[in-house]
Amino acid sequence: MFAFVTRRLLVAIPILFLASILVFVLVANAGDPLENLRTRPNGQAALQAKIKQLHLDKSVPERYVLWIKGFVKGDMGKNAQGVPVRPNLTRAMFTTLRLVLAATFVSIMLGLLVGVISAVRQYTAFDYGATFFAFLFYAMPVFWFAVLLKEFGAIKLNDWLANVSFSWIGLSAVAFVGLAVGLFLGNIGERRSRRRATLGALIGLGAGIGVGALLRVAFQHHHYSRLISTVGPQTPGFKGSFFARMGDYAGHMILPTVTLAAISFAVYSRFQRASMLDTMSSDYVRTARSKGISERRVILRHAFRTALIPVATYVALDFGAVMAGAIITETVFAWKGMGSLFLTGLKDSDVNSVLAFLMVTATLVIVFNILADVAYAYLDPRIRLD
Amino acid sequence: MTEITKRPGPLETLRRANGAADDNGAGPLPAAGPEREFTVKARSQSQMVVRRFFRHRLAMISLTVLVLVAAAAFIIPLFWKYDYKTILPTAESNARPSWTHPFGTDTIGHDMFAQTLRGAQRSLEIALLVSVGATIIGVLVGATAGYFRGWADAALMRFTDLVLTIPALAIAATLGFQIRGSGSSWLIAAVLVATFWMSTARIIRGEFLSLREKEFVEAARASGASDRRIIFKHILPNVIGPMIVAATLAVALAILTETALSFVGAGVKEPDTSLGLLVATNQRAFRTRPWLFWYPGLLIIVIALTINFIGDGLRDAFDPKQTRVRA
Repeated sequence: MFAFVTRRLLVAIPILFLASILVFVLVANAGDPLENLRTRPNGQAALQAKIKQLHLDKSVPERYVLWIKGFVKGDMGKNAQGVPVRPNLTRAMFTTLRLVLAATFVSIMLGLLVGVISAVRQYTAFDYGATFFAFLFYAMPVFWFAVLLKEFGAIKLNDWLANVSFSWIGLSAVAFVGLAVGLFLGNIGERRSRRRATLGALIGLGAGIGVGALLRVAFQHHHYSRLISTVGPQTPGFKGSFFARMGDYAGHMILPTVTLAAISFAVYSRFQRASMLDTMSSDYVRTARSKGISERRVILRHAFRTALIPVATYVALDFGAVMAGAIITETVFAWKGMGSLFLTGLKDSDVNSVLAFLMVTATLVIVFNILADVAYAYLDPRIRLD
Repeated sequence: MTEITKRPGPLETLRRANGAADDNGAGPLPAAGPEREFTVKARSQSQMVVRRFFRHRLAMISLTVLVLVAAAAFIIPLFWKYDYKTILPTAESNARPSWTHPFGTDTIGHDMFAQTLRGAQRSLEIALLVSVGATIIGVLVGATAGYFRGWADAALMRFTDLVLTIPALAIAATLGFQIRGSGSSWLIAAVLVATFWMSTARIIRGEFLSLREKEFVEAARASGASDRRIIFKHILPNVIGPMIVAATLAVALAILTETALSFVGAGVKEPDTSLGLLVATNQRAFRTRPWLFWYPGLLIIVIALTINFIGDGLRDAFDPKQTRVRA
């Protein structure tokens, strides 16, 4: 296992090296980082200084060699404004990682749960509903969905929370959510029962109204009334107790996470459903059933575990797409993360920032692929890593 | 798919064949009768696929909707009174949807209906080019790697892995900024193809790896067929199913990626437009003039959704297991 991971990491080095050359050449030839300076009057001295600073008087291969020498020592060079990239990168990396990992976690958990339930309860209302939403999310442009969320999940919700009143629309929305949750709970488990669904719906409705009222009381006396924020990863200059700060973080994180998780969720749940249907009709599941093992155990221990194998590969492959989604999501929600590092880097034809983005994301993609292989070996006893 | 059809039974056929000769010209027996039997009608592989696809209700509805949308996008602009480039007088800008402007007008004074149709045109055009291009490159790479194996396989697949480590949007945006200023469909499609061919290549390689060991390939090789002939005439027709499915799904993904590309400013450029660019430029207008945002966005969803359903239908149609009852 240790040998396997080490070998994979060693193989990753030439891949990263080649990828950096590829992107360096592309970006270095893309545009003119001095465009602003050239048009400025009396900018000759500044222009010369900038050329010196960014080594633009040298050829592209020479600049690449300079870059890689610095990179090995941990120096990522300076961006188009002459600011070192490294501190920017560290900040951006943690911002983005927080978002991406939260979204990946949410989408895997929900995707697996929904996928398994819709496979076990194939052709039920739950299955059709999950399928519909999966296809819908999959067909939606990320930023379109993000703008809708901003409007309905944040601005309208905050307005409502600032002055909670149970109008017919508000009440029916709460009732609808409660009903959905109730039906969901009624549909899982070993026996479906209408009574449980109804009970769940009623409890959901009550809980919805209760939570609404609680939020109202909580936010009446609070110094800010905007629960869910649409701009940036935190309120600038916000000071408060630990819990207040955590609340602030959460309020800022919720919408970007939902945006990013929605699409991956759609794909994972479809994958999990298909793979689960496959295993559920296999011989060893029938054997397990005929041995008299309880249905729960059959599903969780025999079918679910095997069904995870194709999904694990897909999650790893999909990680690049999640990073791409993060670029868009961060732009929409005005987060200063890897996305803005990359995009401003591209717009300024600033090789160093783009490469910093590339090295981090490519490393993450590779790490995720190794994790998938490890998960593979854990899930499938036929596979050994050595 | 085995189709059960009523046919005259063998006994009857025999009698009929002899009938004219020795039965005093009594003529053939009527086809109907209690002795009829059931026979199996032979169908070719492609006939079966087409039949299965036509029976897939959701896919057929989706196909109809998609054809209607595409027809509207390409035909209506020919006689619609506003061009997508026309800028209306200031008094007419920011108009709500009405009979003269079904989708309203934007801040500059474009007729949104004309703009949306033009956007759909460009998006569909680019997506189709991407799908065709990615399939061609993917098949060439995958077939070479899977058929020849050895160093060709190693080199091509390592290169595929290399491209896969860079997020697709990052590649597309980097290349997209190279061609900035030029909004030609061909160039944008080429940029997207650079990020799309890998999955097709992997699928095709996998199929080739298993098919090249089959007896019919060995037979072809024994009878002296060249590698090219074996690849294109013998193996490729067997992977047409996964290929078509991948190509179809690539169309939907290409439309979505193109919208993302236009959103970050590396795709289609003003004054021309695409659905993605329309949504991107109008996202801030959402609170005050929601019609600028809703129509292009919904159109993207309709197109992507229908294509995905068609892809699903095709996958079911190409799946030989589907001859049995659907589980």
